Amino acid sequence: MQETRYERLQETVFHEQLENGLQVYIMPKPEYRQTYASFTTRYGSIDSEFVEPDRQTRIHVPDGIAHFLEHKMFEEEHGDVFMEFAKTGAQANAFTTFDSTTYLFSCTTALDDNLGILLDFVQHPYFTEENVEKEKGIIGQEIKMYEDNPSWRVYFQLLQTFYGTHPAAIDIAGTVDSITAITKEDLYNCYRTFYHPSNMILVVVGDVDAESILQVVRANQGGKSYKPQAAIQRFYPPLPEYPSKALAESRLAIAQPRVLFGFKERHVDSDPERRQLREAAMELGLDALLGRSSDLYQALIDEGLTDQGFSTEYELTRLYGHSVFGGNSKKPRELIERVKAALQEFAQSGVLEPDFERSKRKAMGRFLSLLDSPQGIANVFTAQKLRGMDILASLDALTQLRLDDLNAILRNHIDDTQFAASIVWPEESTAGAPID
Amino acid sequence: MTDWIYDDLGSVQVHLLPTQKYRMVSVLAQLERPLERDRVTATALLPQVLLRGTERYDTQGKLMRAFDDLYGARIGARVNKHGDLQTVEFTVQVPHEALIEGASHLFGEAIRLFAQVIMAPKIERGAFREAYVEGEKALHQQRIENLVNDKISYAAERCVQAMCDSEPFGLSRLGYVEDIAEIDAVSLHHTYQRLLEESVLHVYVVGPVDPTNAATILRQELAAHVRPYNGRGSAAAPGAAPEGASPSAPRPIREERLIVERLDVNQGKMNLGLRAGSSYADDDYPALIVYNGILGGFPHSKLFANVREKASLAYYASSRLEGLKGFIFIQSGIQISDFERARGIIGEQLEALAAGNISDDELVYTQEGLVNQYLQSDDQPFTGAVMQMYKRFTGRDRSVQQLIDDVRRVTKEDVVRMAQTVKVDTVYFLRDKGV
Repeated sequence: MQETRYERLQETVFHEQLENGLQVYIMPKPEYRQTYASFTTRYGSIDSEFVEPDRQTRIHVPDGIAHFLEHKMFEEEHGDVFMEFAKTGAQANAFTTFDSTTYLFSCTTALDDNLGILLDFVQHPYFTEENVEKEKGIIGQEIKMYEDNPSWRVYFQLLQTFYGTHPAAIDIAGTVDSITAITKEDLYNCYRTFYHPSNMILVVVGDVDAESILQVVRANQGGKSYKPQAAIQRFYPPLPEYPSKALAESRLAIAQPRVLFGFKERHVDSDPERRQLREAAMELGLDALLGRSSDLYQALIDEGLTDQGFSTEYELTRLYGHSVFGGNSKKPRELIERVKAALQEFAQSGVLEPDFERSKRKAMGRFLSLLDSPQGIANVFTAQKLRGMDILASLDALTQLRLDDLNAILRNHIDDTQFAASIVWPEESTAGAPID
Repeated sequence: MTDWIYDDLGSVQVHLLPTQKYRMVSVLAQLERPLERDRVTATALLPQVLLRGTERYDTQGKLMRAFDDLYGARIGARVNKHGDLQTVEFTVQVPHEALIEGASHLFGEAIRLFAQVIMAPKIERGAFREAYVEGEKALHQQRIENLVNDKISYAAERCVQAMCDSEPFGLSRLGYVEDIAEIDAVSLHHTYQRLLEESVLHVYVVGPVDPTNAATILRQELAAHVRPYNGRGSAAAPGAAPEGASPSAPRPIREERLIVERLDVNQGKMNLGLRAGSSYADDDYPALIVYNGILGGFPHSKLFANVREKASLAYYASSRLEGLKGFIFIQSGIQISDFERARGIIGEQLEALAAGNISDDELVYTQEGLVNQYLQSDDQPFTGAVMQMYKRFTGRDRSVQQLIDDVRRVTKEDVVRMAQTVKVDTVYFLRDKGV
């Protein structure tokens, strides 16, 4: 067991890699009543083409299958896994992202039992033709629910403009058509490829003793026979050089248009540390230029171009990266032009020193607030680990960030050829007035 | 757990809970008043205008920069609805000053700024600055109009409004578009002054603070704003309930109503509003908590197991207890053509509960699940604040530990007795426009 102390944060993380390859991280949080545990595989919606390890054949699977698999893991021969957690009162759940699938619980009692349930159900697939068919109705309704959600719609529409047919644009749940094609064999293929312990990470956060948790996990894993697995071969098409189109539009029953726009990265650095630096610089830069305390944010509201929900984000993974700006807007086209022009101006002038210092302080405070949420810190810790980064060290990266580096990164990112936008308009009948 | 420290400043009541558990200090300041049709919109608009600027920082940009300078102290202001009361809630979160070099006055500075937002806004000629009020009026109208965008919460809200169309609880949390035009900088300032005069400001501080030092800072920063208090009850009593807090008289049970609304949607939303014969203040309230848990509070509950897992009709099917009112709201997203089937299955679950068709596992899993939720609520800084607020509203003093004990004592017979008081009042269905 290896111990890492983060003196400034007054936090400690214990780590061990088990013989079967599983990475275990434990973060004690004294005085917390709950313990939060998550078990994550590095496998998400973008992993649609890979070599199946048993037969060594390259296969392509239907969109949405990682998420479908997540649903189906909760069913065992003896019934529903939720019932097992329910015995101790634990709350269990799961979620799928672009590059990961996480199974989790939070509990206030019987931690060892719940850890056992978590490890056992995720390491025991049980798919039948019947239970796979049954799930299609449930996930079909989940997809329909998201289809009616303007935030979701406008976001995926933007990803499609950025990435076209690249898997980064695939809706995590797939489509009603794509999930219809899923068979139990597809699920087993994905399971065998991606659920080997060497591709997984277990994180436990709570008022816990690290060594006793490790004993439980070692004993549980020692009782299962995993053959060593070679590195997974995954195939992704090259990142498109330019967005597939400049603008995508659709309509929904909403009161006001919703708009998102941004720049995609043309290249992604293969070095995780440089990615972490770029991510920190972009987040800080966008906050300084467009955050709630910026002049531009206030101007956009005063000019009636958007409301207080206007926000910015930047995401960078090992495969793709992009900035996203937007929110509600009665005049989405004007908002896009106004922000785009301002950003191009900023790319030249750069962020000013006082704004940089302020945004840096703010980022430090926001980072510390994450530490008060066992679930929040576990999820971010896991996501960053899977991308080769340590979230608890990111405060140091932030403190060391220099303004010239930030401005160079910002200038590099704001590239007109990488710009795209997405608008969801109200149905004419909902808005009550014609558009434009 | 450490105990709350109280400081009585008259119209300002300070509640302080020092704990080293958190890295952040969390502050909640709350004003409470009865929900009233006449004032609901103006009161909802108020926090937005207060965030526009203070005497000292007279634009929103300056004010937000001042908070950002305090290591991103997170300021928030909103209105909320708790039973028949409307609350105006201000929050700020600031990092523990010991974690940051050279930030030894962070807490004091954050409290000063926070208090100024609530009690020393930008005033011109005895009113709010007109441009701010007009700007926020336009934004507030959009905020209300945009409620339709999120169909899950829209359907839930429409169900509440339909069910409680003649009760304060049926009033919209954000108010009404048709009221906005009448509000101006003078009238809104008057609303603001009345709110401060008629309500006690309860300030909750939870986090890694030195108790003596924090109490001194709070007293210093808040004392300047203490005003004469004309509300009902004694200003000195922290438990003084605002007017309208007493539970409304039981309503006659009416025929079940079906409300159908049509919009261009892909998925239908079915929401049911139910009335039970008990609420937070009553002795048998724990049985209602358990009833709701067995019905739809958990993945092992009847709604999830039958509507989703058995019939594959929905991705979500759950119920939520509105404890202060003794209402239960069921929500589910379904294929539009499945309305009758889903309604039938939900009806069967309600009948099963009333007929005592409850397994031992269902009861025990629900009790354990509730205990787990209550214990976990201890990891939220403001759980204690909510319990105290409910005590002010209902007169009923409950603690997390008591709720745990009470829920564990509930028997199947208690649940069945409760089930027999539960009646479906309103069924709301949001569906497509069809042909």
